Amino acid sequence: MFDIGSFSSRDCSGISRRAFLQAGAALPFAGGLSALGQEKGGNPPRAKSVMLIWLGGGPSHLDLFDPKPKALAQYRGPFSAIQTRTPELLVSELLPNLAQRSHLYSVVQSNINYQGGHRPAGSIAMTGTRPTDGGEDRGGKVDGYGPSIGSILAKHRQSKSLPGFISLARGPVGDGVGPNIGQGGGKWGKAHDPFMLSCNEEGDVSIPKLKLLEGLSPARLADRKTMLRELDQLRRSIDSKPFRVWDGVYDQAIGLLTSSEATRVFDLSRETEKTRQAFGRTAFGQSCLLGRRLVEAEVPYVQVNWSRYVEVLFPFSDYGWDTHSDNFGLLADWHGPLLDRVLSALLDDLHERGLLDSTLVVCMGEFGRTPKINSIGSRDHWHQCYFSVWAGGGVKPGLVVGASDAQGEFPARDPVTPAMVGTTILDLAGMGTAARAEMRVLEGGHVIDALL
Amino acid sequence: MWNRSSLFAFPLRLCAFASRQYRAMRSLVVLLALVGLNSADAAADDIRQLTTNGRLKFAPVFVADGKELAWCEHDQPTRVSIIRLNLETGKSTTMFPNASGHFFDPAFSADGRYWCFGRSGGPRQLSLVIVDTKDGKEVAFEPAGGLRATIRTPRFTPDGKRVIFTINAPGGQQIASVNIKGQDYRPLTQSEGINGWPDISRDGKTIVFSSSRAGSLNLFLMNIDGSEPRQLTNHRLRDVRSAFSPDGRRIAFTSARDGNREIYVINSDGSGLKRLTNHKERDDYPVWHPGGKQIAWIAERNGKFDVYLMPVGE
Repeated sequence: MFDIGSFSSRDCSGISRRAFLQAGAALPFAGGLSALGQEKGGNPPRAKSVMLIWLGGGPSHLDLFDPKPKALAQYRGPFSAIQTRTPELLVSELLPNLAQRSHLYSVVQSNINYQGGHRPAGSIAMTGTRPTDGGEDRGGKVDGYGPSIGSILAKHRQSKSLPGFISLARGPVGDGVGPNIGQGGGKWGKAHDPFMLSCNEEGDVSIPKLKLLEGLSPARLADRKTMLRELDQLRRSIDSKPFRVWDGVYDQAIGLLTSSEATRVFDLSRETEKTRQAFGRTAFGQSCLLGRRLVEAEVPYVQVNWSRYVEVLFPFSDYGWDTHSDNFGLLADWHGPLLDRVLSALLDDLHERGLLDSTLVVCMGEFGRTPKINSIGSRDHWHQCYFSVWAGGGVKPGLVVGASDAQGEFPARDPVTPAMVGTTILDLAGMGTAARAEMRVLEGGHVIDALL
Repeated sequence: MWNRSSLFAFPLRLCAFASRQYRAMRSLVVLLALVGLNSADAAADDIRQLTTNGRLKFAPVFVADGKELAWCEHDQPTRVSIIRLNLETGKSTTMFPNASGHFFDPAFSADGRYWCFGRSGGPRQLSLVIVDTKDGKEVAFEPAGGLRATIRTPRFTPDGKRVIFTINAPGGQQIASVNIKGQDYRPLTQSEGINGWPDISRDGKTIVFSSSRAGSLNLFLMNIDGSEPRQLTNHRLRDVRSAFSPDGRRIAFTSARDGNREIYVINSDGSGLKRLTNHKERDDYPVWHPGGKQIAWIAERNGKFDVYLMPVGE
């Protein structure tokens, strides 16, 4: 691991804390800055940027966006359904603020996935493709998947300054076993993986694979010559072989460190206190705010991750959505209220700034949870039917697309596959059939017509 | 009804501008500044904000006859800790500061000898750990159901001989109890739906809890042995986290009945429902001060979660 420093926002006193970038030899997730150039051919994008709000772990569809108030007690769960502004849409009582904003988004209630494990299902959802070699749970490799939707769009757009695909989390997302191997460039290679940033509840921004380089100050970092000298010294201290691996990252790190745009975009203290408060002082809230700033900076694809790990309460985990136990206590404690507040704040903010029309927001996980409550009073994995929330970027708001059956077990109509999700995102972002064919990605995919 | 006065806002604003190095000191300074603060606004005048760091918090409980308060706090990205605050000195202590796992839902016996909590990192998602402070020894109750079984919201019986709790184990989410050694498991509910968030009257005779056995989550009472369950509230939006007043006459709880979570009290016979908070953000986790005239709770204000203390009239 090679330290270069990390970014951090100023605190509210206006005093810059030591804030640096730190690049590691094992930096697999650092694509982007080198991808300079002009946007390739394609449709005029209705969505200039895409924000994927990733709820890793499998959020319970029955307890959030697809309640079944008439179902049997062992399915329905303890939460009541409340009416939204959309006549056809009920949501859980955990989401009162989102209920009031349903005119800003549409809900798909018939998503399906093909595997029930977190990592393969996550990779399938993020790529829109099924693994050719079985996926993570069956010894599959990275190139068994197609590139992720973010990697595809970043390659298509060729972002001019900031990385074209930025993922916000404390590290590559996955479960306790390992990361989802489909969250990056796949067979295209690591150069197309997302550039990862982490944002904590204070709005401090850092690069997860990078650590502080002791002795560097913001003033020294601002001096390119000083930084290059520091990095040259670092370079001499390491073997050439790993450094070659790191070389691209090295350039990107320098680019970010010396980019006034990057430092401006990453500095959440430039937001008003009212705005920061609206998103809430949680890592997820401030990450969504950072995501909005990245959208303003025209980053094509931003993935905001609820957590790094899907697990909730194991010692390494950070409160993901994998609520095999205490689903109803945990959702009432944190997951429901936080999602309700933060997603509402994001939609409000994008709407008020006039950005929602040009920003596609998609909120989903890799699957849902068992409609039938399990033997310990909770819910397990369920990939046969789940939800996704869509807003902005050319999506018609106020719709319910597809439907699950009476118990929420299977699509009653219009199943939406991961390929359809990916195709729709790319289509709205300006990658129509021809552009996808040219890149040989999601060829033959269908858009979710009812959303458009 | 409560609305924070500007007198509170000013020191908080000052604090917001302090640098990270001074954050720990800031909490203490603000706490001391707020204790005893007087203003002409009687409603706000009596509200005390006990913490200021704004981190996610839950499950506050009073300790040592109300001289201390303990709660859970997301103090690291991958850790929930139990924090203990001395209300007289303002000194706060993180229990198990070097631990890497999660510590949930502290409870303390009336005589102060025992305390318990849920702990992750063992063979269960959250095991119940009971500590005898006399010799420091701890026992763990690990419910059936394998790795995913969970114990939450424990409460000691007033005689300090048993602990009741919410359990996720085969049979669903129920309420059960064990003795102080973590043995002699006794289920107290075996109903359909979800049961949880129990509290015990100080006379040791009655348990108040939430259950969805009749549809939505409402408050129920039952005898200490689980017999004679009877419904106390009836609303389609959830009533949870109930807490008996020390004299047993009233019950504080969180309700979403106005569309947002607020703190309510109701007489234990089901009469006299009264809302105590009214704010667009979240008010949750009420707990009575042992003196019976104040309630501490977690309020979300401006996106921050802190512990507050308010007076409660008759």
